[in-house]
Amino acid sequence: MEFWSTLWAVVFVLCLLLFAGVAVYVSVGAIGDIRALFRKMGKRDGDAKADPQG
Amino acid sequence: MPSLTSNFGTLDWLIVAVYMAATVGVGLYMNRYIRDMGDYIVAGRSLKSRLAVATMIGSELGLVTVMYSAQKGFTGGFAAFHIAVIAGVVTFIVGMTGFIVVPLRRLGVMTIPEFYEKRFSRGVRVFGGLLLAFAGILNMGLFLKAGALFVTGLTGLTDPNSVAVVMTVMLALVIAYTIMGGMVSVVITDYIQFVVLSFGLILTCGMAVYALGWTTIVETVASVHGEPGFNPLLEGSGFGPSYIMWMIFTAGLVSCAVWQTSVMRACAAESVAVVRRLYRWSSIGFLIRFMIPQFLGICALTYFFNMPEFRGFFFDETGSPTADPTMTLQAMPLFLSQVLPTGIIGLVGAGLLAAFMSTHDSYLLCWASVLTHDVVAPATNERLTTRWQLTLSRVFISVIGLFLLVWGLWYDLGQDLWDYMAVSGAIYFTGAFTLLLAGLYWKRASTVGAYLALIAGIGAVAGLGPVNKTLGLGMYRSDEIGLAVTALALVLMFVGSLVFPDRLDRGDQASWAERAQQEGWDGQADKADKADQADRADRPDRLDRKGEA
Repeated sequence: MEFWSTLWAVVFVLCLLLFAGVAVYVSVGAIGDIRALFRKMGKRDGDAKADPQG
Repeated sequence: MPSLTSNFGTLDWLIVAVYMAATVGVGLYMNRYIRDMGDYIVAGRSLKSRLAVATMIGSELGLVTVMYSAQKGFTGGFAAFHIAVIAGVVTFIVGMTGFIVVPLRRLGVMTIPEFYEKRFSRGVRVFGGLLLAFAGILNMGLFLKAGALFVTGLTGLTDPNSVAVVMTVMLALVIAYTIMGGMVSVVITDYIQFVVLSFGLILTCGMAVYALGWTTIVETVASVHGEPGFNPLLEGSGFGPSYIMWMIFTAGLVSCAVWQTSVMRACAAESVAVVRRLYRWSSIGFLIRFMIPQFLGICALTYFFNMPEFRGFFFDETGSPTADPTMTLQAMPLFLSQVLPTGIIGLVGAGLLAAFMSTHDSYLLCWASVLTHDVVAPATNERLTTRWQLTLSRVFISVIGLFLLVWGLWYDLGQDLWDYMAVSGAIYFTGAFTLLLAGLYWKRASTVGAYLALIAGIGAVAGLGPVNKTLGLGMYRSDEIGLAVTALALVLMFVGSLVFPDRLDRGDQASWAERAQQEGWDGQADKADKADQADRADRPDRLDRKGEA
């Protein structure tokens, strides 16, 4: 039981730290991706309006 | 239910209201970007890596996941962590190998049944689509109930009518912005939820350990569960080798590579490289979405076991957790209502309620899209206009919402929520896994084999508590039934394909890969690969290029 209890404690702490790092990286980085998504979809809408025949 | 005074106060209600209004507002605003079904279902395939990761984790880290995982932690102790580890490791392996998801993205399909038609036949697509929608809707049938139990436990609301009103209003809001904004609104709201929930849950774990003490937590689990509370290989914890195998399949492979809501994220990715990165990065999210709630469930176990006045509600005379799934589900929110201070509880509550809405929006969109795109459209020979497809999807979203209200009130759970989810999903995914595996990697897989595998998958319904009792199969656990059905589906696919091969598989005809080339599917692959090349050119980091080469 000692082995499993230590194993889960180590796994839990490591995963929590790793996730905290990923959460910071993704939260900040995704803002740029959202901007790019809106730019792409907005530009496409603009193209469609300029050329209604497609 | 025990009467505990919740820390949830007026300030917390205010935080929840502002958060909800902002989320719904953003969702509704996204309607301006929807032009066709591609925008509606897969956001125009414009998702880049980090946003795709946020939306994947945001969608999968829902309130229901938190509830059923906390319940597993409560009933299984630390041994339940094996489910989380399996989910993370398998998702990472899928990201490294591209198993199933990369070929699907290359084919440019939006849904799995769409692949069925390309690979097998239109009939398989319609049948598979119906099964997928049926199992998927059944699978989310208890989401509202879990949400109601969470609201009751966290806020201290005890009047069943007020809980029903809160849940109905939330469902109505989700339906409104999903109907309007489709995948674009889902992506943005998922991102907001990802940010709030990620940091909120990490903070909650810290506060729970601070309140209880790590040593007390470990000692209480040892006292309640004994060694099976730590070692998942022992049967006493409700786990054991067959359960672990079942988890490798369901919590691991299926939840990331076969389950339609996850596959939709892969299909919405901008390129194949993004798909691989998405899975590699999301693997930690797939792990943590189980592990943190499981830990909170363990903390709830510790808290209530050490409070003699409430022990009787959650434990039987022998000190084992009660067999009543409603009580074990409610333990975690009740625990949070006692441990978190005002303000923090409002923020975490708002995040989890937003998670509840976010899961609903993803699932509603997913199943409505499958019904429109894979059942009605092919059944009408694709004569539906884009406008009609969008309208029909919106009608399906409303109808599914109504079903959820009725089913959530009527169905008697009778087993752990996680097991209900795994079994109801298995009706679809045992067959779907077989079709994807054989369809993508075995060129002799045939239409008859596909039908047989899908039909075999329906047998998984025998794992549901009430059905299991009715059929007198009580001696078999749901994981054993699930594994047996999966094996049966694989065997039937193999035998059916050999005995009844497709005409295209015969020597004088083209194989499915050649057919793909003839019919121009490779055009989609080209697009995915071009996006891939552009993506690589945008990324200067050499390590990543090396990984994708």
